[in-house]
Formats: sequence, structure tokens, C-alpha cells
Amino acid sequence: MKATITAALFALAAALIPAHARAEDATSARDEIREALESQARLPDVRPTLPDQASDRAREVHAAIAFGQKGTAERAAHQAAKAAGDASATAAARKAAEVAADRAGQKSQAAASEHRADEVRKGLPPSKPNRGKQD
Amino acid sequence: MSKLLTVIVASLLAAGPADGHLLQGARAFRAGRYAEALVEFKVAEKLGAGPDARAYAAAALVKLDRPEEAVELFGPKPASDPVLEFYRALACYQARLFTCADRALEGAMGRFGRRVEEEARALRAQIKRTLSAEIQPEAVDWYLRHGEEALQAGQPVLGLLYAAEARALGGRRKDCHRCADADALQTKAKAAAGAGEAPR
Repeated sequence: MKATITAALFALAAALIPAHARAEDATSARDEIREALESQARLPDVRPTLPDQASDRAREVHAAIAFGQKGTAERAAHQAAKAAGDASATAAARKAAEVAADRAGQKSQAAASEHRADEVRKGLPPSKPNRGKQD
Repeated sequence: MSKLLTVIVASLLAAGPADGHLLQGARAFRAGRYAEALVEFKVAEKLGAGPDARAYAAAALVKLDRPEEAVELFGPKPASDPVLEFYRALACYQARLFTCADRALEGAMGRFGRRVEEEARALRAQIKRTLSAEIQPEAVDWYLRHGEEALQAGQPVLGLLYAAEARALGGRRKDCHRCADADALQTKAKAAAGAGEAPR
């Protein structure tokens, strides 16, 4: 009995010493996290605004139109690929996509030229052509 | 007796590895490696580090610009640690839950450190400016729509907070735009979240 109690006390002591160290570890871990959180606690760069369903909707529609344009090119590519039906299908698809994309670009440039011509007709200075990326 | 000792020793040993992951997470967070911090905190939580580890993971999500997930992980109740409450407010703010953010900050003001207190004050000023605009019916509709979507996506806390935001903003209008819908959505979200109290 005496031997059991002694063994138990030794075991308890052995467990409690690292447990004490672990308790300190746990505290230091939480202290370190707290310091890390505080050091990085900053306001975000982007300031959110109140949502406006109308403008959100406009963005969705704009995206749909943009995808629609790309979709036209993709559809043309798929149709061309289907028609080719052989090893040259990929090349045909790429070619068709390029043609469709080129047409879309030309259409956009034509619309801009039309707009500038209209401005000149009205006696206004023509706006500068958009040299940026068109998609 | 020996069984009791085994249980005590086993439970004491179990806490060890989780703390190691918490420390690793803290170091990664401080260094700005938030994705790594998120993983460490999640592992620590799985190893039994307690609810704090969950909140730390949510703070990492805020820094990763994933506010909706962070809101869900923080849960509807205020955090006991004011710094975590600051991050919960940031999550709400970035998810456009302005009244949620303001209430969180209001409840923790005076308990922050000096620098965080200044940030909190600045954030509250921004929120005040945002909410000073006239509330459009479309804005209330937006919150209700997103609340429904969050519930359908299995994010009841987010759904509840969107519903509460819709109610708060709708209530600022003379016509109390869709207040009844917001109340109904809150009831539905509370049932889904199992939360018996109003969110803060």
C-alpha cells in the first residue's frame, strides 16, 4: 500500500512538472497570439459601401454582355471545330475564335469612329480614340 | 488509483501539441502569412485548443479577405477578448454588415489597447459616414437576398446577421421597407443557427 502511494505521488509529480510547463506554454501561446493580433489590427484598405442593387444589377448585366460577346466567339469556334471534325479542329477553332474576336473589336472601333464622326458633324471637337485594351 | 493517474496524465499530455500549433499560428500571423496561420489555428482547434482557436482562425480569414466565412466562424455572440471582437467587427464591416460592426466595437470600446482603440474609433467614424446616407430600398433588398442565400448555403450566422442588418436599415426608413420580411428571415435564421438570442 505504502509503495503504491509513493509510486502514485511520484507519477503525479512527474505529470505536474511538465503540466506546469505546458500551462505556461499555453499562456505564452495565447499571449503571443494576442500580441500578433494586435500588431496586425488595422483598417482595411478598401472601404465597403452600402449595397445598391441597381448598380450590382448593372454590373451583372455588363458581365453577361461581356461573356455573351466571348460566348459568340466560343460558339463560332465550336461550330468550326465540329465542322472540321479532324485533327485540324483545334486550329480551325482557334482561327474561328480569332475571326470572331477580331470582328467584335472592329465593331467596337467602328462604333467609336461613328461617334467621333457624329461629334464633328455637330461641330464638336472629336473625342480621342480609345487606345486601351478592348474586351 | 492507477486508472485515475492515467486519466490525469493523458489529459495533461493532450494539451501539448495544440499549443504548439497555436504558437506556430501566432508567429505566422505576426509575419503576415495568414494562410499558414489559418491552417495552424484550425489544426489547434481540432487538437482541442478550445473555442479561442476557432476565433483565431476567423481572424486569419479576415486578413485573407474572406469576411463572410469569418463572420460565420466567429458566431453570433461577442468574443470575450476585445482584440478578437475588433476582428469580428472587421469581418462584419467587410461583409457590409455595418450595424453589426458598430455594435461589436461599441461593446468593446475602452477595453482595447491604445493603438487598437484609435483604429476602432476611426472605423466607427467610417461606419457613421456610410450610414449617414439615405437608405435605399434596394439596399434592404440586397441584404434580404444575401440572407436567404447564406441560409441556403448553410451559413446560418451570416444569414441571421444579414437579416438583422436588413431590419436595422429598413427600420431607418419612414416606410420601414420590408421590415416584416426581415423579421421573418431573422426567425428562420435563428431556428437554423440554433441561436436563441439576437445577434450583436
